[in-house]
Amino acid sequence: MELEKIKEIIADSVDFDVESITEDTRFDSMGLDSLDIVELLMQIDEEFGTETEPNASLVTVGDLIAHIRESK
Amino acid sequence: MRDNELCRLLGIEKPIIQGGMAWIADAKLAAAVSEAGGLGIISAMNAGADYVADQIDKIRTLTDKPFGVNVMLMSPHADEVARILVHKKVPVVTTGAGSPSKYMPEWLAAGITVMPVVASVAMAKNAERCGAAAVIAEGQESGGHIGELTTLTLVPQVCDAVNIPVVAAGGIADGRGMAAAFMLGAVGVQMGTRFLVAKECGVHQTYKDMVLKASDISTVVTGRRFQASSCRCIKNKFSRGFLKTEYLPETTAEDIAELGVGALRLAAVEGDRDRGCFLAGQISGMVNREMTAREIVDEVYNGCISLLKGAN
Repeated sequence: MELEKIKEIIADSVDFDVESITEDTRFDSMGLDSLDIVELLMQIDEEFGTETEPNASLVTVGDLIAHIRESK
Repeated sequence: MRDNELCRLLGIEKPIIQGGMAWIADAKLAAAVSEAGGLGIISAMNAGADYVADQIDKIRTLTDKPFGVNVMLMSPHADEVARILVHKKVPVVTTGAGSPSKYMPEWLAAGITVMPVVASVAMAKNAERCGAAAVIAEGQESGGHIGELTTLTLVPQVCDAVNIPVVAAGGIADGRGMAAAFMLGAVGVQMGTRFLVAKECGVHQTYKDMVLKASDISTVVTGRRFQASSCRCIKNKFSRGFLKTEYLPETTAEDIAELGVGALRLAAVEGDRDRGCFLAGQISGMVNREMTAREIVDEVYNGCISLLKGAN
């Protein structure tokens, strides 16, 4: 559920093959720079009602999903 | 302008902030700008808490006006610097290179006015959410570490996106630039390059001369290839060599990180024309006279006021 929504948001904001995104996909492999990550997180927060700060522990899509589950 | 939002927020007379330039913005320059009615900023750059504490003590001997400290969030000493700012009861903090969220609770509890430098709408919204009192929207015209958007495009979009005051930075060095910033919705400006050549600025004379002699096309951006560290600096042997290496097929992001180490100090302290990295904005071509901080603040402010009066 979360993965699908996150994939949708990523697809919406960057040109990346959404079908290839899994929980193991690293943000840096998607070619996102630091500004892209902040934008993505703000959109995710708007969707899930969370407050996510860009930080070094958010490496993969799975890390983000875990964070959202914890914050909810 | 008498009831300017930024002046009220910061307790200053003129809504002009001096940029926190690493190796350049020290207590002496910051005090001169604050004394002139603007807001002087000390750069904490990559230094440890002892250096920052010394600079704060020093500025307090030079002025009793408000001042700020710029924290480079990527600095290995950011944690200890963040604490010393609370301990020293610094009135204003600006931040660069990331989100200051980690330090915000402590800074806000200490009554510090925090103004992050942002390069995108999302960064500005993030800053507002963290409790920032204002944001400094900096376009890629500026010197040093930059984003992609220009000041003309960034400032109005940030103004539309947040409910806190917006300061414009990047490409502003005179009354026309300041008036334009107000037209875009900003309530103040931050200038770096213009203050770099202030008489009170202790940067090496070679650095000043390079800015004073620069033309409109004298700067380049290094580091763009790896999306990590785009940096605007003056064209010289160092930056040309950097760009040549950057675009070699075999060059990696790690190689690039190595290339810049120590080059800013070589420029600012040693005045090494060939090996130094001379960070400066695109407006350098228009900055061609050394003046005191007060003369700069007055000229920019008065120029802006007369233009805005004409626009009404």
